Amino acid sequence: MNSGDDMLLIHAALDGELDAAGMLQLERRLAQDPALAADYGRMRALHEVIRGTIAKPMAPAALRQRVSRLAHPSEPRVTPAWRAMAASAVLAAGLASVTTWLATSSTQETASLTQTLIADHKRGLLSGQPVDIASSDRHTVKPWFDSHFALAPQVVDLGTEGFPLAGGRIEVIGGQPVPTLVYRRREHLISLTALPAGTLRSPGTQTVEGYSILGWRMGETDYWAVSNLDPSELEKFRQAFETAIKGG
Amino acid sequence: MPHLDDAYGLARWLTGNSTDAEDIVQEACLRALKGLESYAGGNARAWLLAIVRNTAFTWLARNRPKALIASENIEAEPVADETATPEEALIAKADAAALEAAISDLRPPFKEVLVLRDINGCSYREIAEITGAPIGTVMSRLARARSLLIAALGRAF
Repeated sequence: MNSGDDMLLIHAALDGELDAAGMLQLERRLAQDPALAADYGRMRALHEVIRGTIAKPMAPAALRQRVSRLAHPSEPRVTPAWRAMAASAVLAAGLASVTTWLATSSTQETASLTQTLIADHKRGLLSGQPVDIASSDRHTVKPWFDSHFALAPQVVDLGTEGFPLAGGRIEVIGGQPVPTLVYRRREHLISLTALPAGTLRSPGTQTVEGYSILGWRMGETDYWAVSNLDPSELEKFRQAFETAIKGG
Repeated sequence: MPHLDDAYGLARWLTGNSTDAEDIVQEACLRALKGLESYAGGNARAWLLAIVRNTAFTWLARNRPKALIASENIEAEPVADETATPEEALIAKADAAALEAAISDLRPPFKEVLVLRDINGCSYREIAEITGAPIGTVMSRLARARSLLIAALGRAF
């Protein structure tokens, strides 16, 4: 298979993302390059077979109804009273399950806070998008946080200590947006969330679901670091971070 | 609520389950309604799909932590057998079941761009907006997703 930019061009052509000039150029290349033309043929076949066999899922009628009730709760109901009651019971049950789910993230108990922090860290890894802003430059990350938070966290670069800054993201904990810094250690990531002091029950490292999580307090801020690094390395990270904050 | 089919389709592909997809879409719609004030105009479908996507990933991280392997840098990971090259005619004959299985097996970052593009019909720009990834990343993930599908189909024959 051809590599790199040629393949991207083939996909862009199939997806209708090339302009006329780009298309013309690619057609000329395809005419001269049998290997590229073979790749193009394979991708076109895949494109067409997906289009022909995979139907776009349709939202079930019940979901459509539930959602439209969310959007228009005050709409006058013409249904008989018992049906309206049954329907609202169904909606209430649906809402209750959502509320329970949200409540698990809003509980301020340390146990579920650590689970939330771990879930957020994992979500970043799963989605392939661990940061909302990717930058190793603290002078880019800090203003980005400033624009989102009244009290933005201090951002330090720990590249010289072996923990380069990867960027930052926003998490929602207990219904509040909170800043999270992301650092790298070799191929691993460390999510560092800054919370107002008061979330910490027992400082120190815990290991939960295979992730190390370390909480500590500095001034008015509780810091929570999550990673699949070894606890001792997370401790090194804490020391480097504290030293850098105090020095800078 | 417009774009509900798109929202449901994305959630169903990401979770692989229609009941979970319904819960996710309902939750996403609640969030969307709450966030309507912050909606700055622009592409409403992309805005809703972005909320669905984030809700789905949060849900996956909480409920399927074991079924999914988290990756520190998915772009850099080598993938075995990606170079399999079945003939064009064989690919064209792939049946729906084999194709669906191959799509379901894709890792989430690859699956979402493929589903958004080939099933929901989103443009590259919309996908970049929905996933928050730069357009170059969208393009390379899409190319990778399709190569992986072709390789999987090649193995299935």
